[in-house]
Formats: sequence, C-alpha cells, structure tokens
Amino acid sequence: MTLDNAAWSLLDRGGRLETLDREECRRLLGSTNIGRLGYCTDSGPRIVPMYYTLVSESVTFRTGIDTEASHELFDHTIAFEVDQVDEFLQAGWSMLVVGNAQPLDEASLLLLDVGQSPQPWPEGRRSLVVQLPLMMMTGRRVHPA
Amino acid sequence: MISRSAAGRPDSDDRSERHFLALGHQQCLDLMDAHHLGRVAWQAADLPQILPVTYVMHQGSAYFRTAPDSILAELSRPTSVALEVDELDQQNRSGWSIVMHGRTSAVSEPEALEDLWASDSLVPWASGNRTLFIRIRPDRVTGRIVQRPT
Repeated sequence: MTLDNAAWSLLDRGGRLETLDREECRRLLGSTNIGRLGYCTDSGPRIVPMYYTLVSESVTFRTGIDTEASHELFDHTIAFEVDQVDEFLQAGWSMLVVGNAQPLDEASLLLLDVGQSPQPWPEGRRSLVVQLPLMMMTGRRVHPA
Repeated sequence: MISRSAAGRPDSDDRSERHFLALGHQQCLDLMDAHHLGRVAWQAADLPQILPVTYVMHQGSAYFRTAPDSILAELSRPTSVALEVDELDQQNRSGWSIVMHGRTSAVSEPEALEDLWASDSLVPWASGNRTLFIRIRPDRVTGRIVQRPT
C-alpha cells in the first residue's frame, strides 16, 4: 500500500494512545484466538504465532513435546501478545500477558472440552498443553488521528 | 526441569496433520519486503516484551520509527531482537510466519535517514512524536509455511 502525501501527513500526526485497564485487556483477550508467544533463550528472543483459548483464567495453548519452546518455556518468564492492528487506519490495540507458564495438569486436562482445546499452529503432533495465568496484563489502544 | 509427563497426552484430534515447510532465504526476504506489520520481541529490563511495529525493509535491514520516550525507544541501544511477520488464515489453518533475528541500533547516518523519511511505508501505528528510527540488522532470517493438505 502506498500512501499519498496527504494521507502521510494525516497519519504522521498520530492517533491518541490509551492505556487499557485489566478488565478491557481480559475482554480483548477473549475476542480472538491467535497470539504471539515470546520467550528468551541464551541465543536471543523467540516469537511464535500460537492459537490459544482461555481456560480457567489462563492463556492456554499447545506446543510440541520436543520443540525448543517445550524446553525453554518453563524456565523463564514468558510473554504472550495479542493484538488487532488496522494498517490502513494505523489504529488498533495490543496487549501483553507476562508470567510463568506451566504444563496443564492431568485434572485440568480432563476438564478441558474438546471444543475448548486450543488448536496449535502449525498443526502436527503437538501434545504439550501450556497455561499462562492472567497475572500481569498490560495493553494499549491507538485511536485513529 | 519440571516433569511434562502429565501433559504428554497423545492427541486424538490431531490426525489430519498439516505439514509445515521451511521457506527459502530469498522467499523470506521477499515476503518481509511486501509486508509492513510485524511484532518485535526482546528481553526488556527483566521481562520479555512484544509490540506490534510498522517496519520497512531497506538495504537488507528492517527499520521502524518510534517516539524517543516510548517503550520501543529502548531498542536504540544495541539489543538482540526477533521481528516476526506473518499471515495466518484461521479458517483454513494455514499461513506463514517469518522471524528475523538481529540486533538493533538507532539510525544516525544522514543518508539513511533521508531515505527512510521518504519511505511511504514507514508509518508507525502508535501516536506521538516519532522522530527516532531504529534499525534491525539481521543475523538470521527463517520462515515456515503451513498449508492445508490436498
């Protein structure tokens, strides 16, 4: 997309930035099911798109049992980002859940409906279900100029 | 390490496997060139941080603009980052994702700045006085694609 000069100067004035409260973050988190998982390794940060669902107030996703993520996820604080950005209007929101993930225990796993089970991206054999509790949530929204 | 055996339940609903394929280096660069919305991840003071950015590729590096008082301005100090760009089709469960790993720096060369100010694509999505240009010089670019099995 190429913008003409008028559009450029309009956008350059920028939109209004709003900090989202916890309740709004929680609502937005429930409004979609694709996010990006971020974690740090000794060789730098990683970021992976993930399908997720909210189960017992936790971001819940699946990953492979023997992937890099499965080895690194539980040793560090991780971040899960969800956003919706309108590239044309240069507006949207973005929110981040930060905390320590844990594998879903057997009891919770049994309680999980098939319909609730988060689909992995990409699909394949992925059997590790991971939960990130909604402890620390921050977000912001940009209103168009 | 914690035990993962509890969660290691075999998937019963996962038989229709969709394979993901690695994208070639040039394919990754072409896709990054054609897109402008990405998410940048880095280790901030003590927590990992992820934010959406509008970037542009210029002479092999990715650039974005931000305000000097923003969270992203932290990246004017050399920082190891991952910039992820994707297009995901939720319905078909297909899509691609590219990650560029690299180090950031603030752009100060006048020629580069001139080129970047002239770039139509480099419109950040957040507000403020975005006078700071950050470069991500890539060490490594990898990508993968997932397609619906035919």
